[in-house]
Amino acid sequence: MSTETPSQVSGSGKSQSHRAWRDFKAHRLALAGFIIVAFVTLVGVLTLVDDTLLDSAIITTLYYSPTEPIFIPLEGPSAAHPFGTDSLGRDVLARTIYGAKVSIQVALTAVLVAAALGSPLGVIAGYAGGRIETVLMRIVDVLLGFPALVLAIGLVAALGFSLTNVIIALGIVYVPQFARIARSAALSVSSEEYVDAAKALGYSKRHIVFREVLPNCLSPLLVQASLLMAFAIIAEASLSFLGLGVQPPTPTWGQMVSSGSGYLTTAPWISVFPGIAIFLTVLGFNLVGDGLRDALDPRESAERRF
Amino acid sequence: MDHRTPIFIDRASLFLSNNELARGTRWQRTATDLPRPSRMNQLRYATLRVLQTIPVLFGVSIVVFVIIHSAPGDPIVNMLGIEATEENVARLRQQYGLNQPLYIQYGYWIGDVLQGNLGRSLTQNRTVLSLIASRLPATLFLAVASMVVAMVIAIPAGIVSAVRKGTAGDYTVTVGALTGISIPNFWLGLILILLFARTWGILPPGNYVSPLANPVAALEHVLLPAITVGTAFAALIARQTRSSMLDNLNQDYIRMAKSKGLPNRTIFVRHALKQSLLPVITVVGLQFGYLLSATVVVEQVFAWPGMGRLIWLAVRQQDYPTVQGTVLVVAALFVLVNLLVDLTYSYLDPRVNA
Amino acid sequence: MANPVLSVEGLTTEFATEDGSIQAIENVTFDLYPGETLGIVGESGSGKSVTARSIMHLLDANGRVANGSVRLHEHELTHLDGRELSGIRGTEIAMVFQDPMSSLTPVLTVGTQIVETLREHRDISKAAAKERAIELLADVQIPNPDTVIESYPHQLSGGQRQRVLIAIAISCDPDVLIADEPTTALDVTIETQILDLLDELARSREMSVIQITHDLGVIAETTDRVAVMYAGRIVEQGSIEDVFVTPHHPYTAGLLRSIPRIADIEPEILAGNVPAPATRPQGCNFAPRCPHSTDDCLVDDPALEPVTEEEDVCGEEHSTDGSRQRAACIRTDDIGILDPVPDAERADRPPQSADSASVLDGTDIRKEFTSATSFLDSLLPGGDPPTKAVDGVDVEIREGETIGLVGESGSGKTTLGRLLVSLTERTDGTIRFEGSPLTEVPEGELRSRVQFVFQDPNSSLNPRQTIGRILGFAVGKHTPKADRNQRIDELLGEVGLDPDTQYQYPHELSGGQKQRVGIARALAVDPDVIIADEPTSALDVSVQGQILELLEEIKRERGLSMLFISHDLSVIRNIADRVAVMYLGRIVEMGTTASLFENAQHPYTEALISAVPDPDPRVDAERIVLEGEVPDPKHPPDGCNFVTRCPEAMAECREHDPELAENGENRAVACFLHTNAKRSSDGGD
Repeated sequence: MSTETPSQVSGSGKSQSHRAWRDFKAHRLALAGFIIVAFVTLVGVLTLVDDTLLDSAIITTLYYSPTEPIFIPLEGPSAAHPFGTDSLGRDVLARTIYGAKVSIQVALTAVLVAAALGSPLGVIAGYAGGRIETVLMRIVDVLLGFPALVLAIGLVAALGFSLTNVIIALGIVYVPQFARIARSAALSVSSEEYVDAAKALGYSKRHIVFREVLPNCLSPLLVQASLLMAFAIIAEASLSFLGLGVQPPTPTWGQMVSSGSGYLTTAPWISVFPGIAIFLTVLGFNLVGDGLRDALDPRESAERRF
Repeated sequence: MDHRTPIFIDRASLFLSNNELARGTRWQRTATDLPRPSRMNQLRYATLRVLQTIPVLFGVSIVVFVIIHSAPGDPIVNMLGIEATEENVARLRQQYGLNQPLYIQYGYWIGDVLQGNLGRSLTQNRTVLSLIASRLPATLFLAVASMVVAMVIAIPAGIVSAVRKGTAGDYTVTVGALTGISIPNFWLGLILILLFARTWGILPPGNYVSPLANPVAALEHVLLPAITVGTAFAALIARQTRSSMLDNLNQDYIRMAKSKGLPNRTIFVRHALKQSLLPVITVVGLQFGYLLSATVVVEQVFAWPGMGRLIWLAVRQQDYPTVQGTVLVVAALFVLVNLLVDLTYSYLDPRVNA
Repeated sequence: MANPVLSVEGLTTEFATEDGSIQAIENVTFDLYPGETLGIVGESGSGKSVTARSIMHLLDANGRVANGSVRLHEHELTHLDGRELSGIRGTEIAMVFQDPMSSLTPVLTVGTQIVETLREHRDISKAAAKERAIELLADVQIPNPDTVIESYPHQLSGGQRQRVLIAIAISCDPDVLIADEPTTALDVTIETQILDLLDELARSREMSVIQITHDLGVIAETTDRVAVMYAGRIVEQGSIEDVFVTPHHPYTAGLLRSIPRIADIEPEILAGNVPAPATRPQGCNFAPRCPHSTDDCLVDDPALEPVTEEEDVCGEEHSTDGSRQRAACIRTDDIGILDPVPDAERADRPPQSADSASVLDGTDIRKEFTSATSFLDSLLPGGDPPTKAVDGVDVEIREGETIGLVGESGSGKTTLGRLLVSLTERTDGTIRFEGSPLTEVPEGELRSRVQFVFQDPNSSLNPRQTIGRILGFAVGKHTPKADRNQRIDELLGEVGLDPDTQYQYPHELSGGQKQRVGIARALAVDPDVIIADEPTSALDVSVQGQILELLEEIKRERGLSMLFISHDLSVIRNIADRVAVMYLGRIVEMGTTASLFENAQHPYTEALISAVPDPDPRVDAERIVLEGEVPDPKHPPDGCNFVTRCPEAMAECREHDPELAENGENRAVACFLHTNAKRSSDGGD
């Protein structure tokens, strides 16, 4: 009913984000997910640096080269090769480590770009309403009418099979998802009285959209971003599994699974280990996304009414 | 405007609906006592939705057309080979109408499509339509089988996990669902083949058998692919069911039902269950798109002669008319399924159309 | 005295939260006798709802009854298991909940929800149950019960839904009915209907009723005995006359003195806030706010006891009816009987002369909302007609005056307020600011001269911005950067807040504090006119007075003009110079406050005024109970909008629409009983 008692039962003076961080940390699973994500991202960044700037110097000196076929092919996991070797005699572990590069690059870039483009569009649509909203949302509806991977395949078919094009394709697939979520959030936020108050005080539309509405739409967008990164990793892996993504000799997890499928009974480790890598990374992003959703859920911070 | 009405205009945002419901439950004196809302009857709503779908379908076709026509390389050269002579190329180009402005080409193409002509495959000597017709049943069979497998497991699991929140059962389901959406389906398929087909030899590794020809064998053959595709689907459904159920169990009307002295089971079945399953229907519709996507990959793994495999083949061979036709059909199918789900939802939920 | 039918003793309920275990209610003790209506009154955080739920064992998952006993007839409710409780609920004790919309399952018809209760507890066939359900709906005075029985909850109005809830509750003839804020979410004219209904049902079925509410007037009019709760404990208890006419506890007296009344009395502010459950003070919970507290009060929670031979317990004994007045205060002997009615007579409000400059005025203002959900929707035939939220309104705010705009749901008062500030675009009509039409006034100027105060403190402040930032934006437009901080400090001081508040976030403040910030924000641009939309409706009773006083003070000191929108007539009585009453988008009566309240002309105004419950239980008011509901704004009735409910409707009223016309000095009314003015037909009225 009425609100004479302060909303925070504990009466702490922290801001909403502080409380969310505290809730997030309390979630052990989410924390585990965060660790996985951080680890894989680190590996991805390192390998990216290593590959582009140092010509694979780090991994070759510390371990083995991921691309040189210098070992005995199809050897099972051993002390020398914890993940075994593949059909061309390359060390599977080294290739798995390098696979992180492509996965992380694709996931982070595609999703962040899509978020940066899609969210303002959605927020503007949600706040402005009227014809702007109708036009924007119709376009979004059309793009969302395609199953995600099918659209990605079509785009990649048209643009060509390369890393950049995979990123572009997934970006195009994900922009409408962000636009949709952003619009919903903006609709909800726009009905709050402080938005009206901003209008009554004469703030410019730009101020209202970017300083009042958008910051309050961030929570669902953040959750969505994390979950979409998980999907992006699977999508990229699926594309390269089908041979429609990043082309050899760059190692990608999906490709490794695919090339190992011919040796499934004789040398299963070629497919199994990269698959586990995909699984753990995706799991990590999903855990983080779930944790964020729980932490940012307004119901959790709702007033305890008696 | 009644702030308590869930916003179902935007089904995809149902993932937000829990939050919105929470945000919207501010008590507002002016809102709750307003007289009855507008009476848009079901027929009108259905008509509206159908009419709204038409521009979407056109939009989809435009997008498909634009994408395919921005492909690098000259399809004619691809078709005839690099040694093709200049005049052969020019002649075929004219024949295919490729030297006309894009929108005119689109006009011809969409006119053809509406008459059922999807063009001819560049690599196989058949019309695209006949190719699709021969492949679609296999994919549909796989899709339906996957949905059945998934929902049979997922919905009860989601319900149980919500009702027994916090127990070991809940934990199992939650972790299981998390695993389900994190496993790459192609990898899962390979593992399943490795275990069930190669190592233990219980089930065949794919290969489509028509259910009309031999139902038992068909089921045997579809089981592994269906589990592969269905796992992620099941995980999503289970999660949605659980959260929807939890939401409902927290509502005031459940407390009211208890105060009437109704036994828990009645409350659960009559008051909570139906209400909770409604959003799940919507999710099933939305995730049908995922199913269609998954078939592309999974059909590869299991050598399943369906649409997915067709798309892949066409892309590899740069058979653009086929790519165009199949993507169009798949997308149109998805849009129509969503429309169907929308109408079903509006039929079942009295708040939407009354 | 007969044995009590329900006996609660020492009831203590705790909730497990992330910050530990919190006691919501402590040591609640009372009896309910057969055939009587007991009121439990308190503000938010008092624990009255928790008490009701603890009795029925309907607490949230994290709550539990830690201590105490609840005896219903011969059952000890705290010891029963789920199954036994289910048997008792509905048949011996039932509850009517506060919010009818969320308490009815949306996907089931009304009929299903009644029938299932009947069939659960009685051995009857489906057909018989349905018959009985229709009878019950007739008992609760729902028109067309056979149609309603097949309807879904969202198809009914709020009043109808509440009746359905009542029908369900009484369906199995319980002996005790707990009504938890049954009319809080309803308009005041509907409230009278529901309260009358409850009263009649209680008498005809010989039910005992526990009436839980924060509205002191409702308590005074409907209950026989009352328990006053504050911060989780009962602080005073007794017959309604004893407690409300001769209160002994300082809180009861303070509360009674602070509420706005229709009578000619100036309310007296009760300072301070209700403590949050987690931060209740050591000793008496009310001590920090109590004008009579001493150091002894801070030691222990005082016990609720009548006067007995024991020495250290004080209270007044009143031996009529065997129910004695009890108070939880250790100083009742010293304080004696307190006066629930403040002394000051209301200061006279001289109306502004009609020559005063008009600051904001509007002619024939109209606003229509279309029912189409999309462009396509508007093309298809068979849609709903548009809603005429504001249907031809003339209004004028003169310099220095406060106009009160009164109306119930669907009256259009909020829309009108928003139209005047240009928050919503009007469909037709002219609005002038200081004589110039709005179309000629630059937006920047309008926005800095006319401001708006919003209703819901939970929604009017951006949760991600500190108070300082919120005010800083508002201040920033007109103040150079160097002076900004000082200005913020000044504003906060002006609304009675500590300057340190600017470092806090909205969720850290109480409702009253948030509302003050909202006012400060409106003042930041130095406006001349303030439009306040129900600024106190979402606040606790004792805080309402504080905010109202603040608004009056600010208005005086800054020489503002104000449009005060409210559904609460007592509040309007206290704050407005002139009053306009709205019904279904039109103004039906207008006049100076004193003359309108003393001599209402329009039947709707009369009904509204009589519907306001009086907190003095000795007053036996003749209440005009309007029949029926507010009509659907999309389908207003032919003729006068009020004709469907007007107790004095004439034949002419069904054919023609009255126009607002002058009827005396500073008075105007739209009614054929008083004038002959008709509305010009403006296309299908």
